[in-house]
Amino acid sequence: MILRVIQAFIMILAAIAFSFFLFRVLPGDPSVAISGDPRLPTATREMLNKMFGLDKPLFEQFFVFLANVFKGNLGISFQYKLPVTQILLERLWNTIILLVPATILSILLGILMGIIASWRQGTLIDTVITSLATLFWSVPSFWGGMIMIYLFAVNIPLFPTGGIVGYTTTKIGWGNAGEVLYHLLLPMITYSVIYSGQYTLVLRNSLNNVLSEDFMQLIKAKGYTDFEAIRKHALKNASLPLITLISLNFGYILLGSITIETVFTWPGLGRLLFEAVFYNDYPLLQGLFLFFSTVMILMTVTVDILYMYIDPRVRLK
Amino acid sequence: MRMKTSTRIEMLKWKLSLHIKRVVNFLNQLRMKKSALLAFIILFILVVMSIFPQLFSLYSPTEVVGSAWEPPSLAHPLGLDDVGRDVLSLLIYGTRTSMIVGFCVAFLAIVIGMPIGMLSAYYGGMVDNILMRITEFFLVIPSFPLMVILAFILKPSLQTVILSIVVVVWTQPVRIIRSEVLSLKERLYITRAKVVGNTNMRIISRYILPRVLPLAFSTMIMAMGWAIPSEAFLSWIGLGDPTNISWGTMLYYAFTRGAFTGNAWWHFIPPGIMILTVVIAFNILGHSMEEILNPKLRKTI
Repeated sequence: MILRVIQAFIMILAAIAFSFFLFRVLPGDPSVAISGDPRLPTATREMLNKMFGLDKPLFEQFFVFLANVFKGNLGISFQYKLPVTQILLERLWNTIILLVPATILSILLGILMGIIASWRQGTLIDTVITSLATLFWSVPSFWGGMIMIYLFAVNIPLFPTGGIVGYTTTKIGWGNAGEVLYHLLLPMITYSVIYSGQYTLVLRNSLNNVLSEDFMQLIKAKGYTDFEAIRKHALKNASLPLITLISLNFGYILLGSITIETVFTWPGLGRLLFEAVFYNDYPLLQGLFLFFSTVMILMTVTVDILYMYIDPRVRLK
Repeated sequence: MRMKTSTRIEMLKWKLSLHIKRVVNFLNQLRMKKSALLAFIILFILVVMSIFPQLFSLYSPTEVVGSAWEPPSLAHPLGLDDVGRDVLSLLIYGTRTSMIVGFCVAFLAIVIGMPIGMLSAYYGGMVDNILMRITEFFLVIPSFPLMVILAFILKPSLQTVILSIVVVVWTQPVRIIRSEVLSLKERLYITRAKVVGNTNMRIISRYILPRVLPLAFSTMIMAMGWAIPSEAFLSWIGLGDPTNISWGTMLYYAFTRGAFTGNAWWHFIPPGIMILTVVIAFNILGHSMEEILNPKLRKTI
């Protein structure tokens, strides 16, 4: 376990080095990436040059960069003229408000659909659910979002076309919780429907596998109905592949954050990535990349450790 | 020992007929699966379309043929886009970008991933350790942000798009090939080949590579199914080649120029349907090929 944590730490260091390499070495002139923005006044540019040690050799620059990252200093955004760390922390909450409920909802929806499909195996319901799930799995999420806006915000104006609150303010709080919820619903529904597809397919598959095993014959012989057999006995055994999928899915959840937030102009981290690209904001992009990488690495380690408690076979290894 | 020329020709003929038989057999098995056959036909048409787009479209995709967002009519079955270009023609020419990106990415991913997976599994130990740490790093780095950043830093072009997708996709073949070779290398015939005194390089090229190639092929087909939506995603976020017509670029213009608030559904629904069709078709074909080429799987699915 300690080994895994050390590994994660090394990975994070590698990610920092990697992003340093990406942003400093690839575009050629490092000062372009950090302080080359023509919109910055000369004094600021010189200050930034000093702060990041851009006048020193590349090797030394890396350690300055490393020290700055650990101090939480990721530079200053070209576009917003604010420290990157501050912007990231502000946007993080918006992303959490959208992604956490949406992810939970997509998993629940997937489990429900998977159980129904497996319970009614081979019937029309099964075919319909499986085809729909395949469809949702393959839909590009940004296009799915555009369709949902077109249907439920433009054609039938049930929901707003985007944003997090009205156009008057971007600050969220308990005072306008209702308005936030109103803006939250459509992106959340879109996200959970699209992402439920793969959970449905995986659970249906693994439930069907478990149901064909010998011990399920015994349970049926005991007089359980199909549904009870699934609920009481098969589900526990079938849930492991689903948990693996969920744990492997952080990358895709991030993709969802980028696409869904961008389509619905939801001011979270994913939308921030789009904005950083749009405004050529190097420091912001680098900060986002480091942040996403760190989160991914920490999540992976957490899941690995959790796995030891869930699956006894892993513990024995 | 030298063979007579006639015998050699006979040998070659026999070998050739064996290969033809294999291909025919494969196509026959493909025909048995209705969904796979359908996917194959759809992709075949799309490949032809990407090679000869001028045969299918009535207008040049860069030509302005009417006013902005003209609704569908007999002359323009899918209407016009935001600058007055024929959407159907754009769609047809966009097939080319998707197919080029899909093929190049899949090919490069296999060319990079297959040797790494094979060497890593075959040699084990230090080699495996180093190669797997590198692979693991690329697996854990969030792939979509990485893709966006690469495409952002490098000059926007088709090559950049291909390169950015390859950087995040090559790890999949490594994993798939590695686990296959790990089980292959335990087989008796490999041990026998070793005992007889074959060199490692010879064992890999003569006994392992031919066994792995079918799997590599089906992985390549599936990789095309990953690469095409990735290209669409990059173009949609505004990082595609601006001079290139692609389904993602069409969606980018539809999105940034407000086609859906302007009610121009014909501008953004068709490209999405094309992407969806291609993704599903490549996945079905890839899975069916895996089943046909790898008889072990047939029982379980």
